[in-house]
Amino acid sequence: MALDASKQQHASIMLRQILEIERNYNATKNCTRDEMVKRVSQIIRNEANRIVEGEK
Amino acid sequence: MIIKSLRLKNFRQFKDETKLDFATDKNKNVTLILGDNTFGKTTLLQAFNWCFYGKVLFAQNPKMLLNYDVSENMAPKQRTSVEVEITLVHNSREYTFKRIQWYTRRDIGSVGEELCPLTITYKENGEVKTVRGTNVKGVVNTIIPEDLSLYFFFDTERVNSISNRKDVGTAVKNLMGISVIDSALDHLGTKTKKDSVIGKFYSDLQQGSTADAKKYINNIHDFEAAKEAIAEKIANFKAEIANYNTKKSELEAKLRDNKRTAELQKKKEKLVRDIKTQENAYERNVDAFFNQFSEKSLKIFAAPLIGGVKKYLKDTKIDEKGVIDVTNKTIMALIRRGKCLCGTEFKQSEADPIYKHLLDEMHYVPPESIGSTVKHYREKLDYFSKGVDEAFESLGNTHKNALSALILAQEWEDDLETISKELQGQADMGQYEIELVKTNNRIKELNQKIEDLIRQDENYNRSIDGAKKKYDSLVVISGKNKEVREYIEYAEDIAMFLQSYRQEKATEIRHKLQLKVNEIFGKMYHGSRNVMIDERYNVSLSTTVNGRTIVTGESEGSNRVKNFAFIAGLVALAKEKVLSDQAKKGISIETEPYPLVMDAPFSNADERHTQNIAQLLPDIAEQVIMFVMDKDWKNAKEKMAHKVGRTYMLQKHSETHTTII
Repeated sequence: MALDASKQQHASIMLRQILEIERNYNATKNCTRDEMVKRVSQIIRNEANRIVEGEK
Repeated sequence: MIIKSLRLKNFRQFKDETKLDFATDKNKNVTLILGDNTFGKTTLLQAFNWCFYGKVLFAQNPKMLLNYDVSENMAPKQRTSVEVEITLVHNSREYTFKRIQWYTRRDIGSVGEELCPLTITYKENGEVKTVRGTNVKGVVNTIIPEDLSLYFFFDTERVNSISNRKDVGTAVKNLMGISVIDSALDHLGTKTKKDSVIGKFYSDLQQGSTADAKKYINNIHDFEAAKEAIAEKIANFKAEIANYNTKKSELEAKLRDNKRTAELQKKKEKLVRDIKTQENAYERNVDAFFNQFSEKSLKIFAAPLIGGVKKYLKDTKIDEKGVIDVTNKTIMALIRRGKCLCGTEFKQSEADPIYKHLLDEMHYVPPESIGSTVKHYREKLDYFSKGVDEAFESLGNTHKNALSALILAQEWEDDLETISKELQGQADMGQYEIELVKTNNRIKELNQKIEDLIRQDENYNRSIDGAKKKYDSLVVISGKNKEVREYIEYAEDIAMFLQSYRQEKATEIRHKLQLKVNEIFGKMYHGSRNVMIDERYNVSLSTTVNGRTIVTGESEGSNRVKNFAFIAGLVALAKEKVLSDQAKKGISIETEPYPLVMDAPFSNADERHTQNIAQLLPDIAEQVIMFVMDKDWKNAKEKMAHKVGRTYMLQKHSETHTTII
């Protein structure tokens, strides 16, 4: 599915955060894959919720 | 990536501890290590290979890394180590890679080596952390991929060891930052990949629909209607109970006001019941009397006669006159013999007293046996007369009971007559009492029905609560699902973007790399050849003949330049941050600039080529560490000297001992 324009900006923020932790993960492998899945999920949740809170 | 230092301990000819700090200044980024042939230049290059990958390319005795002098001086069972430690900075994080190989002097003289695992530590927020053993190889390959090790630690004189058949595509892409995208894509996953971000989001979506919510609302309405019906029934029952209570009060008042009458009525009823009981008892006893009399009358009437016979027989004692075992025949035999048992002789004459006595005796012995007959008769008399006393007693009792019942019944009849006279003209209190009991029962019954209805009402309350909760949860689910669907929307958008971005960049990397490699190759090789990079990122030389591109053969010189151009192109591209693209979602895949560690880069190059390379190297690589012979350095010096930040000289003391100054 394609995001509408208003959400693209937030997706970019999420992407940057995800790539940051992925870079760190690649360089140190300091956590398990499961933990990484949780962290990436959390980035998306946090940012999406932050947007919703902002809209309120 | 910047290599800060290399520390060696007993590594081949580098006896004891040796440490080199490399130039890290961007403007003076070259570290020059000068030394002639056999001074240990290649050994230093191999120290990098061994530390990172646990491999060396020594032609002679590759397993024996321990310095020969140290080995020779080891006492039996003494243990000593070979160590290589590299400190580098990657992605602004300082890492220390350390590999240790332990050797023990055996009794027989040789030394044996043990396993030599690599440990990686890094500094994070001022804290030193260690990469877990299982992840060490992954971290090495992320920072400095083993597939490209022969390029990074470039041995110009052994360039043929680079295989053109090996697929280094993944390593190149990783070096360019693709591994970060791959890793992100792996974690984001897909709808069907349950252990991924998107897969888990889809799992979080809860089932539930508006139709379900509507169903529960309808249920709630139905339950509430049922509750109303119950409330109406309860109200009706309560009204009914109120009526019955009024009636009950009236009846109780009547009974209270006519207590004497009620008591007399009760007494009368009791007397009627008791008289009936006594009449029944009288009839039973009369029947019993006649039955007993029929059965035992003969005994009763014969009792006086039997008493007389028994008395007579007792008095006569006939049964005692016979002589035991003497029979009529015995006496007859004595008479015929004319001689008694005692020997007295007699005559068969009435005059002879003995003879007469014997005749008399014959009355008392068998077969006449009167005594025995009397005895049997007396026994029969006893049997016949047995039970006569009990029969008398039983008849007496039965008669007595019948009479007693009759008398009681008559007495109570008199009482009943008296009470009946008194009750004449009075209301029937019994009927009131019966009505009161019925009223009480009806009230009890109605209360029970109300209790049942209350229980039903409570059940409906619970059902309504349950339905409301279900409805609320469906509403929540609907809200929650909306939230999760939004996460999915973002995650899938990001994954989709990364996939297309990855594909786009993978193609772009190969294209840009080919251009860059050819640019560098052109500066070092004067001819009409080009470098081609295939999908496996293998490099080959080609030329154009009559408009057709054909792969050409390679001499050792052209092969060397080609491979050098490839690694130089790679580090140049990494330095240019080819994947940074602010136009796309502001994404910035930071590619890490890389150093070049080269042994004899100017080997077999003429003065012009040497100067070209010398000029090129410090610009394309973030850092250059090179091991050079004095004679080659002389040609390069003019173009490179101003870029040299550190210089070391290898000093060979013996075939087994080199130091660095």
